[in-house]
Amino acid sequence: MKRKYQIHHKLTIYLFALGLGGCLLSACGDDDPDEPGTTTSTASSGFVMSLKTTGGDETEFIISQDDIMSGEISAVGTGIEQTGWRFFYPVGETLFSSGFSVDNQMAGYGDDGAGRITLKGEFIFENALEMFGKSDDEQTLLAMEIPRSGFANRRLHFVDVNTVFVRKIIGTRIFESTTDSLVAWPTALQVRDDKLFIPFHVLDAGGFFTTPQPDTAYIAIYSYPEMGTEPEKIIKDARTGNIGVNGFTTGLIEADNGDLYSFSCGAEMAGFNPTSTKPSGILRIPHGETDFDPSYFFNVEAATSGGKLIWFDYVGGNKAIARILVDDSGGIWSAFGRDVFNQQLVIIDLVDQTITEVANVPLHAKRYSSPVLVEDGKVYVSIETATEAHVYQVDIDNATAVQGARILGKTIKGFYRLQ
Amino acid sequence: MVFILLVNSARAQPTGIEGRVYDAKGSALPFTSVFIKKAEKVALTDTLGRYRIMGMTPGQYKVGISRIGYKLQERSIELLAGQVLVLDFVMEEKVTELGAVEITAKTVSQELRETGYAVDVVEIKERKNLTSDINQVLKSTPSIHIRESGGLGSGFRLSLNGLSGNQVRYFIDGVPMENYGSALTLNNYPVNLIENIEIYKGVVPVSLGADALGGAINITTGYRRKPFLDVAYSFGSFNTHQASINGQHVNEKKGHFVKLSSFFNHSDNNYRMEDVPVFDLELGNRLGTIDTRRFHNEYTSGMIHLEAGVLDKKYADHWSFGLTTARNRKNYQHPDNTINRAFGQFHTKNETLLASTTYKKRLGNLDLKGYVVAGRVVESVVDSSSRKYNWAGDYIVRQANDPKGELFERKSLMELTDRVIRSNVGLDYEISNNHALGLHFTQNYLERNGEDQVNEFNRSFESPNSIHKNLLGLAYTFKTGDGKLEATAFSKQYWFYGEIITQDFQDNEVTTQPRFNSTGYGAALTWRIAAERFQLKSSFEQAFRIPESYEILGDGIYIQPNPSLRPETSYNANFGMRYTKHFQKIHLVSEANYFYRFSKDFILFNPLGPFGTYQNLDNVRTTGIESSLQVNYNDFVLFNANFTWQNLTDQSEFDEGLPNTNYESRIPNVPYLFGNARLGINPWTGPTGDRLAIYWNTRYVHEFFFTWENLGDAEGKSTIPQQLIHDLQMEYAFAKGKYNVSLSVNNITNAMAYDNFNIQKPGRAAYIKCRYFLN
Repeated sequence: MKRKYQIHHKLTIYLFALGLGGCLLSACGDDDPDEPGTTTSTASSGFVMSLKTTGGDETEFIISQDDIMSGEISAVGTGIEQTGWRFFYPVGETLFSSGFSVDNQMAGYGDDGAGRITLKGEFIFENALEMFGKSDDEQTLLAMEIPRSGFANRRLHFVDVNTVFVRKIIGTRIFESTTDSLVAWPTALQVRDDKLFIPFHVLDAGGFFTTPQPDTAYIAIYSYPEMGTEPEKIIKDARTGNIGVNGFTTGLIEADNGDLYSFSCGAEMAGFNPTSTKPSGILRIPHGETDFDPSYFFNVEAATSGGKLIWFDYVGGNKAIARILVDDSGGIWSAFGRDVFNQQLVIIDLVDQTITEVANVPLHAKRYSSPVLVEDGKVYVSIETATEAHVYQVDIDNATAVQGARILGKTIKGFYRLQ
Repeated sequence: MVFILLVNSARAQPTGIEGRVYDAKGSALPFTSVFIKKAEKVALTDTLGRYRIMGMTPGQYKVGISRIGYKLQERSIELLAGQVLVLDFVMEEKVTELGAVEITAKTVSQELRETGYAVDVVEIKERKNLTSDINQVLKSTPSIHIRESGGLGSGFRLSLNGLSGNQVRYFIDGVPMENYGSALTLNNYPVNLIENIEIYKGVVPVSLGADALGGAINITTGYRRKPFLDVAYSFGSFNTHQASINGQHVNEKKGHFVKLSSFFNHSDNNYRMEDVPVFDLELGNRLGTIDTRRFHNEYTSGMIHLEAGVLDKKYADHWSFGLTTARNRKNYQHPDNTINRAFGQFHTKNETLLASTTYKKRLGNLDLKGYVVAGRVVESVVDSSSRKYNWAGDYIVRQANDPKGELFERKSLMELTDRVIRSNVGLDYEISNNHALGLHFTQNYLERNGEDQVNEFNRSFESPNSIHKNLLGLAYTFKTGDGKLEATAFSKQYWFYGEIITQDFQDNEVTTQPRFNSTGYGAALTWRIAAERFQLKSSFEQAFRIPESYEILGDGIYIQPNPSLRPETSYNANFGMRYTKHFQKIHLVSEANYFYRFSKDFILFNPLGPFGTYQNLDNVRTTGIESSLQVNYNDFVLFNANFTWQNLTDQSEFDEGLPNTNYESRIPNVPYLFGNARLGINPWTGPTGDRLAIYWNTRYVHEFFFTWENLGDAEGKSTIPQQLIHDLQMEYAFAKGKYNVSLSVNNITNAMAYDNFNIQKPGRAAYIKCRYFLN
């Protein structure tokens, strides 16, 4: 074990209380990979990616590579090792990596100014942070702990993007009913102006992830950044089901003009039990308003002859990239596995309410994805079929794709730029 | 079938001799050669010291007995037609000193080592005066590696030739220790209570009757016919106290005995930790690292075992009834896999109560053995504190509406109650001097109930779940007349039946009834070349490990049941050589073994959304060599050293359909090169047997990677660093071994030692032990 900078703990706490902790923490870096301020040998240029490898415990790595459209992408001899299953969430040029299965640690990675990725800071949390968002100025990461059973606060962490310090934690129930034994499971943390929108699933409190009220869309609306412990209001819409899908952070997205769009899935394959009787589709909250637009509902299920949205993300120009479950026959949670390959990549025009299948992309399976990286009208995705995993570059306007590098691993959870 | 043979042989009434061989203390002496000079007949005594030589013609003979380490004896007899003469012998030990047991005497262990099984036997005699538990002794044997997460009572993981966890099974006197609770695990037992540790690597004999995949460890407590009392107390660093009382009263005339085994252990385990991270209690921000002592790491355990029974009756050679009660309490300083969190109140408790009966009877050439164990094991996990601690020992009290516990998401006091019933019947029949048959049946039933007294949302095991494992083993052994070749072939039939009740997503009770059966087989062969000097042995087995209850049943919440889970399968092969040589005053034993394991359908947890199931996912191949050398010079210096190199590789070409990047790579987080050395000297021996002995132990473990070696930047990779630990032990025995005092200093150089990633083990520690032994 390498020596670390040591300080007497009482002293540290006093100094920290006096506001001097930051200097201690930023000055004490050395060659220990666990220590904040440590630069790694992984380049911060090019595409930075979170790669999940195959075999054993499927170790995850943060890797970087300039060319991802040819050759192979692998972690052999390169990349920053991560512990256990991770959520990856980028805010500006900082990439957050949050422990889920093994450790309860959040790390923030960025460019060290000399072309290398550095560990900017870390903190620990209690229950896994399972939902993420960011402030409009990209100076604050929002990360929420969601207890899995019983009635308990969902704890929203406000994290400084530059220091990776938690500035405050607000506990809120979002919604609960002790009489009906119901709790809320958030599916996005979307800030717009002075409001924070949190769409949620209504789950049974027993921790079984059952969805007893799947036939209504719910969004809790809070003031922001001075957030209260109770929502200002909860809006509902019965035209479609619960918003979002467990694990994805983009149940609600903001268009260039400030309109918010939500998607509802309701499929058994995505964990709905019972499933929603309402069609899968998209709702809108117009800019400046805090209610669903009664004149807007894009019935995706009707438009795709029975398909259900399982994921979408905003790619600019009022368009979203999305995945459609072409059928819902795989069984409970099966969209999170690798037995059913029935997800279709599409481009949705949110305003025109049209769906175009992205050409040249096979039907695939997808478990998890960070918010997408969009550059010059192109968006990058990792597509996994039964026997192969590849990067695809999708041309948003033309809804066409080009197959890129072969991925030596299970998936790339996300593509990022750190400089 | 077997009974018919028995009746026939009983009716034949041949002429011959039979009897028993004891040592001076009255303990049975197995594997003693009994020979009749003129008739050129030889027999070996069995584990109860019995022998039998039949088919002799009447006349005068000289009967001799010999055993290495004992004085040769001869007796003249006259045998009449149809007479079966009963001849008992008491053998006198040759005067031997330091390390003598390991070298000069052909003991039970040596005999076992010379069977075809890949077996190693650690004799405890030499170590009884020292402060150690079974794990510490096991650690110094080839191919065993024990990874501990801390001091006394800490979690540990034993690996044997590359297989670990549930793949290795444990026994006490042949009775499986599976599911007897955490107070009766290997790290609790002081060495005083035991006689030998038998380590079966890979192939496990049918007599042990278990679904062991990678081997078995059988602890024998010895069988003595004389009263004795063994009282020991040890005190040392970290406020560690270990006491044991082991005694027996025997009434040889009336043929009954009462035996007591007991221990008490306590340690504060408050050893120093370096560079532990301190996080702010309210927000979780990292404040820095500190050096501090562990402050919530106490461990206390105790056991009392009482046994009473009869000896040498018509209806039984040995029939006893036993009662065992054991308890422990363990405080956790941090979760077993990370030091990022610190606890101040989280603890577990165990209460075990077992009743057992053991029966042994020899009827002619038939050995009959059996046992029944029934008991109740209660394990409690107590996470009901509102406090949140950090490594600085500071804490905050959570708000009343915050349900979080120290470890779990909600405060919890989970009490799991297991009812176990286990039994075994074994028949061993000696058809002739060359052929023997063994038939063993083992049954193992467990019923689990659970109740969380604090977390109303935890409904695991609210309805009882049960599993029933059965195993039938048949073995045939052939021996050549000169004893040079011995071969065993066996087959094992496994049956499994379970009834599992869980709650589904809709809160309905779902009952699943997994069942399966499998057939395994194997063989062992040993060949002695050049009499006693050189021995070759090999063994092979296809074995199964039946899934554990939580793997197949789930935990009722996050682990979903998988009734289609298959047993893990292992093909294992062993090939070994053993060489013994005397040069004047030097005695040398050298051993080398090669092992091969191919394990299929490794059971791994596979997450699916917020849930997961255990599935048969991986194939792993292990090859390795282990080697050991023992040298003894004139009972003055004893040196032994061993090393193990093992190569575990991932043999899964695909992972869920995609090419496995780590195909054929070394499995991470498993040590692959390690060794031990022990040097003992006996600088002084007094006229009345007083003696002083000094031992030096060194243990080495090569650095290994925490995750896949080939992946990631070399410089940022997490490793478990190399360990080189030295221990010093001194003992002084006087009044013919009645009083013994020892001093042990572990980790003399105070080296930073890690078995698990980032989890530091204790530094330098010293212990004094006093032992009183009355024979």
